[in-house]
Amino acid sequence: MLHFALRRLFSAVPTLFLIVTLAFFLVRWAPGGPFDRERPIPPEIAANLNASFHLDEPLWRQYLHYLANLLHGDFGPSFKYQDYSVTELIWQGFPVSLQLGASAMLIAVLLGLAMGVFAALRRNHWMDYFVMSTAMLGIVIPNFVMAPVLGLIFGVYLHWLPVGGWGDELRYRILPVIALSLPQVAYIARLTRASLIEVLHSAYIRTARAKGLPLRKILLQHAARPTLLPVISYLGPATAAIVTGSVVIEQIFGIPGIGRYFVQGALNRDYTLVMGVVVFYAVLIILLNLLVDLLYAWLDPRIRHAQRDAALTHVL
Amino acid sequence: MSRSLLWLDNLRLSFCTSEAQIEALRGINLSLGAGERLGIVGESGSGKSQLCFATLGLLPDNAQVSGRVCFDGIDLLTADAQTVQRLRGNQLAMIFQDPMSALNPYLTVGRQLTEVLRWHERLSRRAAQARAVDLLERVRLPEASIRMRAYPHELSGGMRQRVMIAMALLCEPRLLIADEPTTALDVTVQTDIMALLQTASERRALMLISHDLHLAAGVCQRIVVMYAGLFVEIGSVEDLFTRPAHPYTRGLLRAVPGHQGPAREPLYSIPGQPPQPDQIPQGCAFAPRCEQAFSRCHHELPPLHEIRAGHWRACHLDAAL
Repeated sequence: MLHFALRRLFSAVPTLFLIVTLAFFLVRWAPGGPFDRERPIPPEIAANLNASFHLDEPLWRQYLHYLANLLHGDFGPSFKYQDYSVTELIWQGFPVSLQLGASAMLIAVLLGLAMGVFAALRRNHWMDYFVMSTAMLGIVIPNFVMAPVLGLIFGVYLHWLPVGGWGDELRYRILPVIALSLPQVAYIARLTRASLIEVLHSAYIRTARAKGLPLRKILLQHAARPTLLPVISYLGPATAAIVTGSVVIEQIFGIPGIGRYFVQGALNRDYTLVMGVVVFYAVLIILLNLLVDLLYAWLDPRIRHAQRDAALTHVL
Repeated sequence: MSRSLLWLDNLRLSFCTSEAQIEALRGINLSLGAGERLGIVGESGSGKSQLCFATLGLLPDNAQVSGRVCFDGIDLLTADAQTVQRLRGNQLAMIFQDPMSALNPYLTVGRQLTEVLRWHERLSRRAAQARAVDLLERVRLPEASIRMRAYPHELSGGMRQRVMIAMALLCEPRLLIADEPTTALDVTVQTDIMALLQTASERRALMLISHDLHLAAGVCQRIVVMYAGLFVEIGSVEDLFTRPAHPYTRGLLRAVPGHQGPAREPLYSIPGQPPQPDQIPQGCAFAPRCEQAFSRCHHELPPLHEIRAGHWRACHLDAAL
């Protein structure tokens, strides 16, 4: 297992390199620069600024420079928030984004699983159709529509919850977490339903019934694992969706997380900040995907053994 | 006659699909005594597997069943779920066709065996473990205690079927239903498994489903020939082999290589195909393929009637035997 984990980590290096390269050149390709203002700054000051951030050098040298710094774990200084390094900004925003994202993920998994199992066990019943069509709504309505609508209903009309801001109180978190998790709840619910229905039709479930086991035992002991597998493998893409969704949600609700820095950074052409967030999120998603793979292998003995055998042939 | 262990009374089974109503069993009557070994033989699609599933109540949601399935005096079709659950896996056990898909790939062999004992007999983990190892040894699985920790995919096909048989025998059932237990196996392993099944069915009733008349004859005392959801002939092994009374049974016997007819003659096969389950002809279902069919066969369903003590057939032909 350790061997497998290390190999997967190692194989993530080229992926990360590609992401960094693409992100670097895409950001630079966008028109404008970090020191462009409505009223142009004097050329001497601009030249000085450019020189101090190495912006006067050819692009390929800047790229190599950035790579070298990155290898030392240095994201560089922010162009806009000049008293802060990008690392400081990321660590400032990350706890907030983590709370938002982790809550959304937790709700997506728990609620999605519960809804999916509920619907699968009442297949083709009106409750099944109701749950599944509600889930479809969650999938088709994009979060940049859902978030303002939720704010409008529960904040502006009903005055139950604040329309924005962030604080330790629960009431600040309800709307953003719901808006962020809703598409994932819906997706996991549909995935779970389809998965459980398929598993319940398999021959080994019929065997379990032939053994006289009650439904409760059949579900928990025989159906749970195979039903969870597709859901587990979706957790990787779900993380990516929550990360990107968080960029939008933080902006809409005015939450001081990484996503907000990312948007601000992009608008200000704050190259290092944008790059820093991209690299940080890329590493995060790669690590979580690795975790998902390990979890998957742990749940499916056939994969676990295939890995062990592969590891053995490597050793021999 | 002593009270039968399993008694099927006018058992009918149909499936409701969006296109049609499919009739799988069209009125099955059967009585199986305690300790009796019965073979059920027929082509694929004749309803023999569905007969097993209907008996055990393992049918999908779109199935409609009528009639009676009485096990030891209890009608399994009307009994409450708990009663049926207590009997399944305990008094009535089933061996499935393909042990690869019938065993749960995510659980160890030991877990799948012991859960039966822990549930039905409330045994402790250790006691269940010991009994399971004991049974694996009885079905001659090599290194039984090590295999307990194996997953199904780590075993060979023959080993998996041994595990299935052990699983069915765990609670010493009074009726064992085996649905084509050797179909998914190599020919060399088949003989071993059939021998094992024969030993396993001592002191208990056996219902063996097979498409191979000779395989069933090797183990069973009485054989039922099924065609399109109905029994067409019932008789002792001797009756069926020496005095087959239904043209379909005769066709089945002739269609076995090396058994009848001179060598080098092309192998006989029954002309035509079995009817589609949603287009079963009125009258005798075999009539369109029967070389001796006459007009009455196409209009009137021949009832199953006794032509000799214990030998029944459903055919309009004169009993010119």
